[in-house]
Parts: sequence; C-alpha cells; structure tokens
Amino acid sequence: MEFLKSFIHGVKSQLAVHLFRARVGHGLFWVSVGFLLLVAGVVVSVNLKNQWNYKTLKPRGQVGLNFKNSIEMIEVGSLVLGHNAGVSAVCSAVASAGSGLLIQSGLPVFTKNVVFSVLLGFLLPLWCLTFAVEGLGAEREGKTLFWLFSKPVPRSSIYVGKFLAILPWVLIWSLGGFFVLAVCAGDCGLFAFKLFWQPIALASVTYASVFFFMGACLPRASLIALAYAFVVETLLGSMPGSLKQLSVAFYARCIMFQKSADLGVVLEQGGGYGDFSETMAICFMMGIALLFLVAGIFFFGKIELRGQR
Amino acid sequence: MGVSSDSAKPDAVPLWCRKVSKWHGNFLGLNDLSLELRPGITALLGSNGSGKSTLMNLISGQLFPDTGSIQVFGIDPWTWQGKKLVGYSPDLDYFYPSWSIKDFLARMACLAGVESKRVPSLLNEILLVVGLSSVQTTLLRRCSLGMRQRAKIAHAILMDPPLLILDEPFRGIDPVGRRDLVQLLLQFQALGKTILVSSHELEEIEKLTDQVVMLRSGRVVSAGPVSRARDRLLNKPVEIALEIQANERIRFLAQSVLSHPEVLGVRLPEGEKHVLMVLTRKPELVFSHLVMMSIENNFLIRRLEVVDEAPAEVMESLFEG
Repeated sequence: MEFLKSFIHGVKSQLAVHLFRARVGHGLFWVSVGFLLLVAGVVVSVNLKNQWNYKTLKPRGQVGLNFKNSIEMIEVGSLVLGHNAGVSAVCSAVASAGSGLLIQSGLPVFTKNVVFSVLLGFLLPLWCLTFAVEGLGAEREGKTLFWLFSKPVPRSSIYVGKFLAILPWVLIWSLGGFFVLAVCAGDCGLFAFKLFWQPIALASVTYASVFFFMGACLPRASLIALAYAFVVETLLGSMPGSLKQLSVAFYARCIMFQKSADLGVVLEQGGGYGDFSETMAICFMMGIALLFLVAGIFFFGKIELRGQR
Repeated sequence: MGVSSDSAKPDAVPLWCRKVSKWHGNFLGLNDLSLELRPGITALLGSNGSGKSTLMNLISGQLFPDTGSIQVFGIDPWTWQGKKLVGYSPDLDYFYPSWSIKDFLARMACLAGVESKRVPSLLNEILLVVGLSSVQTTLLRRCSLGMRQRAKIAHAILMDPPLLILDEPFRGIDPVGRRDLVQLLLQFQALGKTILVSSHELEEIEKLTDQVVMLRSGRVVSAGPVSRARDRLLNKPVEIALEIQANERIRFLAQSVLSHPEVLGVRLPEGEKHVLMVLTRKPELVFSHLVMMSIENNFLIRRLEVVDEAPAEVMESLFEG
C-alpha cells in the first residue's frame, strides 16, 4: 500500500514537472519538421494536379490506356453502338460506374501511397522517436539522472511518469502531422484521417513505448532508434511475406485494411493484412507497447550511475 | 526546516557497511570495506582513486554493492525508502542549464514529495540558509561553480534527511561561504544529524571534526580521531628496495644494514640477485645511512626507493599538502 502511494506520487510529480517541458529545437525535431514539410509539399503538388485517384493508373494487364482513357473509350463505344439499345445501355452503365469509382478512388490511392508507405513506414517512427528517445535519453546524455534517482520514489514511477509526460507530445506531433498531410490532400485525405486516426494514434503509443525504452536503457539511443526505424519499420515493414509482421507498422496497416474493407475498399491485395483481425492487431500493438514498458521499468530499475562525473 | 523522515528504524545505526566491494570494470573501487558511522561529522579522506566517491555513491543508493551490504538507519539505501534518509551532494556538475536556481529547487522539492503549498516557504528558508536568496532567479548555466555548489547543498538538505553525504562541498566556494558552510554543518551536527564529508580542504575539515575515515585502494586504513590515524600511519613500517651493481657484495651489505637501529629487517627477494629489501619505520634515516655506506664501501647503487606508497607520504599529502 505504501509502495502504491509512493508510486502514484512519483508518477504525478514527474507529470507535474515534465509534462509541458518537452525539449523542442534539437536536431531530430528539425529533421522531423523538414520531412513533414517535404512530404506535405509533394502531397499538395499531387492534389493540385487532381491525381488522388486511379485516372492515370492502368488496369492490370493493359498496355497504353489508363483507367480514365478506358472509361472514355467505353463512353464513346456506347455512342457508336447507339443503334443497339441493349449494348449501348450496358456500355453507359459501365462507364457511369467506372466514373463513380474514379471519383471515389482517392481514399485507396492516398492511403496506399501516403499513409501506408510514407507515413507508417517512415514519418511516424521518426516523429515518435523525436520525443520518445529524448524522454529519459536526454537525462542520460545530460548526466542529470542523479537528480531523479535521488528522490524517495520508486524508479518504476519515474519511468512511467516520464513516459506519460512525453506521450501527449508524441500524439500531438503524430496526429498533427497526419492531419497536416490530410488537409494538404483535400477531401480524400480528410476522409482517410477520420477513418485512420485511431490506428495511427495506437501505432504512435507503441512506437513511443519502444523508443522510450531505448532512450532510457541504451547508450547512443538516438542512433539505435533511427537504425530500428529504418531497418525494421521501413525495410522489413515493406517486405513481402511474413517478415513484415516484425514491424509495428504491419499491425497498424492491418487495422486500416479492416476499416477500409468495412467500407468495401480493398487497400492492398496479397499483403497479408487481412490475416489479422482488427482486434488481434490492436492486441498485438498494445502487447508490444506493454512489453517494452515492463522491460523498461525492469532495466531502468537496475541502472547504476557510473561515470557520472 | 524540511520534512523529517519516518522510515528510519528506531535505534538503528546511521550508517552500517559490512564487507562491501564494488568493481568498476576491471578496477576494484571498494575492497571488502566495513564501516560504521555514529551521529556527528565524519571526514572521509583519501587520495584520488581511493574509493571516496564510490563509497558515497553506494551510501546514497546511486550504486549497488557487488558483495556485502549497506544499511542506512537499518534500510537499504538503494530502495526508495532509503532515499528518504540520505541527502547527497555529489561531486558532479551537471544541471538543467535552462532552469533558474529557484525553479530547480522547486521542481526537486516537487519530485521529492513536498506538498506544493509548502514549497515557497521551504525554498525561502533553504535559499537563505545556503546564501542563494539574492541570486535565486539566476539560470543555472550562468551560475558560478560556488553558486552551483551551494545549490547542490540546498538540494541535499531539501528533505531534512538525518544522514548527509557531502562530496567535496567546499570546492569552488569562497572563504566567507566556507565559513558559513562550516557553521551550517556544525548546526546540523548539534541537531543530531550524521554527516559524512569528503574534502581536500583539510583546513576546513579540521574546523569541522576530529573524526576521520581514511581510505586507500578501496580499504579503510584508519578510522577514528585524527591523532590516532596520524600515529598509526606514521608508525607503520615501510619497505625500501636497494639495488646494487655487484651481487657478490649483497650479503655483506645486508649484514651492515641490519646493524642500523632503525632497520627492522631485511630480505633478499627470489630471482633478483642484486636487490635487498629493507624494512623500517624511519625511511629517511635509513636512506642517508645507505648512501653513506655506498660511499664508504665503494659500491654503486642502481636503485633506492620505497616500494609501496608510504603511509607517511599519504598523511603528508593529505594534511600538509
């Protein structure tokens, strides 16, 4: 009971001291800002060309004609075959349905090209590690851990308190960045944001837990976190087969896959994202977050302040 | 002032170390050290690398002993309960540079569990005690070494702990500040606190206490009043190595050296035919005797030195250096 009381006090005091004092302006922060601006610029330029749809894509196995040309051909066909009312009606119906599909194709195109690949595979891990590694990593690097360790509170409360203190920053930065990209993409982007903000938030919490662990328990945590982000999340996460299941992004994609499938939109064929139900994917992500949180509490509790002078 | 601790076991010894060893990689920082402290001020002395800071880090729960155990008022200082009982001013100089002294102490008080409504009055009191009231809004990155040193001492006494561990507290503090700090520590002693102070400022240490613990190579070589330590160390025999060029005369030399009244014994180390080891309590007298003998008997001395660090030299460097 005394431990619990002290633990709660420790968490509360860490929140009181550190909640609104995340360090911005360091190198990684500006790298994150830079990448956000870069990707937002690309998204805006695509939006200006009205290309968030399948108009310029070619149907599988077709050479020469893209979707838009194909539908136009069918429309022309319905006019040419106007003397045959039945065929003309079928052609008109197919052309109308195709046009409708093209208008609605913004969601899968934006999701596949921006959310699945760029955001989940690269930007989100980078944004999360910007704040999560700094949480206790900055105290390690700045050799100020002593000031925390000398307090009469359990080490676990310091770890949990600091983690909770950086979490709002991680979420604001991740969801804020996603929202900026969504706004830049227009209607299809905003629709994707409404549909996918929850898996993005959950992935952010999971990334935060992984990177916070690295910052608290490993030397040169920023480099290790960057290496993890690129090797595991970007490279492994985009590989075919089951290797991608090692990445956090895979489970976020599974949730997105299910959410869009509920609307009748299939985001990516054969990616294995349909193999995990939404509930399973949520459980996996929460499990990873919890695993790293517990591991962090364990290892952080054993840190000795060697070489602090 | 401050918050008194309720986690101490009644009648427990303020500090109890039993057979404590601590390795830093391949270096043995503390070697089978046993120590017990009673209320009052005790000075911790020793040359660099003798294990002072390692011992202080262990007592304050920043390090964990590899073997043996440490108890502070009957509680393991590594635990959070133990941290309530120890106020530690370390010999490190890393702060949050963008915080002011006042912000730093306020946040440390918050983290330590002081109720927020009590923080302002507690800070006023402590800043006054350590002499930082007039500069409390100065950013830590702009503070002088002396100001940061006082901030560390303020941090150590924030929770009014019964055991204070101060690692080099006089470093960087001006003479007036030193006098004030000596007075402050004497006041704490009068309140029944236990204080362990390490310092190279022996003038201040002698004003503070007569009780010293002397460390050497991670071991306690002396504990008790300064006079006893001085006597014990000065009377400890040391060994002198004498190397000459012609080994056939070494036995003659051994017999001649033994005739000197200050020589306690001689030995011929195995495998070193030219070397004679001489045991004495007065190395300076034996040195001149050996030099005279070499001139009279016409043999060439290759080496003449004390083989281990003489306690007398340690004392000299500590008390007269």
